[in-house]
Amino acid sequence: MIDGFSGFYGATYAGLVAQLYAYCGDHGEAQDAAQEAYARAWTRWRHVSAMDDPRAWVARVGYNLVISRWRRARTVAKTLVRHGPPPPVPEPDPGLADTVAALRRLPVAQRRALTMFYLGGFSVAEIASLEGVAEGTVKARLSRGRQALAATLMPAKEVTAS
Amino acid sequence: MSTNEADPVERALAHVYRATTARTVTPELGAIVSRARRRRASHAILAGVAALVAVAVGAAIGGPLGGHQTLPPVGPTVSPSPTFTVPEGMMLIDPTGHVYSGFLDSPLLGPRNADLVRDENDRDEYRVGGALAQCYGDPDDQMTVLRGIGENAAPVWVSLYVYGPNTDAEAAFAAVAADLRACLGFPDAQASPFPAQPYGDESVALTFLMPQDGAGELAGRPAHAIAVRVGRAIAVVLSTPAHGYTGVLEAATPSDLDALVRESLPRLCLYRGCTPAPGLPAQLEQISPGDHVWLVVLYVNDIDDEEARPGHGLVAAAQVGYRPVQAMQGCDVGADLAAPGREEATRYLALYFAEREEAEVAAAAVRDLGMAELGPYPQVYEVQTRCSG
Repeated sequence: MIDGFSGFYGATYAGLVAQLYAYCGDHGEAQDAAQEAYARAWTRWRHVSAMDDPRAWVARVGYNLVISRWRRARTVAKTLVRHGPPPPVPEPDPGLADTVAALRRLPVAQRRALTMFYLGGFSVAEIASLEGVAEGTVKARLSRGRQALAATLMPAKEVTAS
Repeated sequence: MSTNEADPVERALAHVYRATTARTVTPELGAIVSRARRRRASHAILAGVAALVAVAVGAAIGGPLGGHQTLPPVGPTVSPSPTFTVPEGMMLIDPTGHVYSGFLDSPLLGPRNADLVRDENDRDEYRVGGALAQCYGDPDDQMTVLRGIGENAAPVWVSLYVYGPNTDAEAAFAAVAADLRACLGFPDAQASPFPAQPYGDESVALTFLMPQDGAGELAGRPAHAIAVRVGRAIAVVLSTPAHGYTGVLEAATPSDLDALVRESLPRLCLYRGCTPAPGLPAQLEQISPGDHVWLVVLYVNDIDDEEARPGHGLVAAAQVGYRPVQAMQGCDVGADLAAPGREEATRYLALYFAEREEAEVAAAAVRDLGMAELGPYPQVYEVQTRCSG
């Protein structure tokens, strides 16, 4: 059972961090939330491994953790107390930072739909199930999110040229 | 993942994915396992004792107070420390600010024999009619459990939402009370309040008719719900008809739900402040290191024991009107509760009293609950406390 979890964890961790980073804009927090999500999955792996898509369960936990306000308030303090100052993180490239900043300006539901679809690889149906909304709602969020993101990312001359 | 590189949005998002995964180092599996175990341990730590043991106990003589035992000489002295108190409203928040949800795998709400438990992240699998989590504001923690109550094991969804000190439980309840139907996932259902005594700090109860759905076997059948706030916690019980093996399983009746809520209410004092039941003594609120006190131990667990259920000790204490504290082995000289070699991993839930008679009365009240999950506890110890807050 632990072998199964080990393989699952190794194969999916970085992808979840990418989703959560795109969602919250903080790589450290994304990693912390992802590690917490996998810790919870490990605790109940017998149950999670029997699901159709354990990755979806872990992703949902990760997103839930990231949006928790109290978690944000204590994450930095906890990190400093337990581990000392976090290691210096390499500066992200400008393109990466711009995209993440643009995502942060989107409404939460659109941002989550985009990160789940494009970074998480979840289908519209899977996202609808995770979010508890209709597939049409997910499609609308993706469409509006893409439009808003495109307007932010594309220079004005490209917009007018298309 | 496949990307349409001609699409600037897909290209940008794919770049986020590649760049982030490239810079992400996957921690060793052992780090995740350790974190899971720490989380389990932190779930069992109750603020009120942010205690650190200065030194391990020497030759402590522990054991139940059958015959009176002489305390050993106190070991290396502890530097004078401030007295510690049991802070109001901090019962289930550990020193790092995390709300303890692990206790919810004990039957805090409803009958003491839970037939199915799901944690907060599984609740979506059991939403009835698409219940809306956003109705409940931003709880620090939440859990939904499914129970079968009454002769026919009518399904009842019991949800508990716990709000931290910086979130507004009253505002959250106001939103729930404003439209309980919608918050339960039945926004258009025909509903009416059902007569119920007020519960807790504030409450709302209603009956609604199941909407048309699927083949319609449940349409028009009554469902019932009660929402109640006690301090920083909101509990919601919902019973709807369901498809049984041989036919439709009717919802639990309002009187069944009333009994369920009334049984649960005393335990929710953990979120508001508990008052001992009539006839029971008050426990000590202030203890200084070096004090000789009487300990009622409710539950002992090893933090690495995945089967441990300290929540049962919490439930038992709250049921009779006490908020226990959790201490680490060595905190109280005279209570040798750890298995050999497991001193640092041992935690125990306890009540502190000034007099032996008080401790015995409180212990008897807990024993009378008949909770088999407590095992050999509660037990009374005479101790000299060494904890510093």
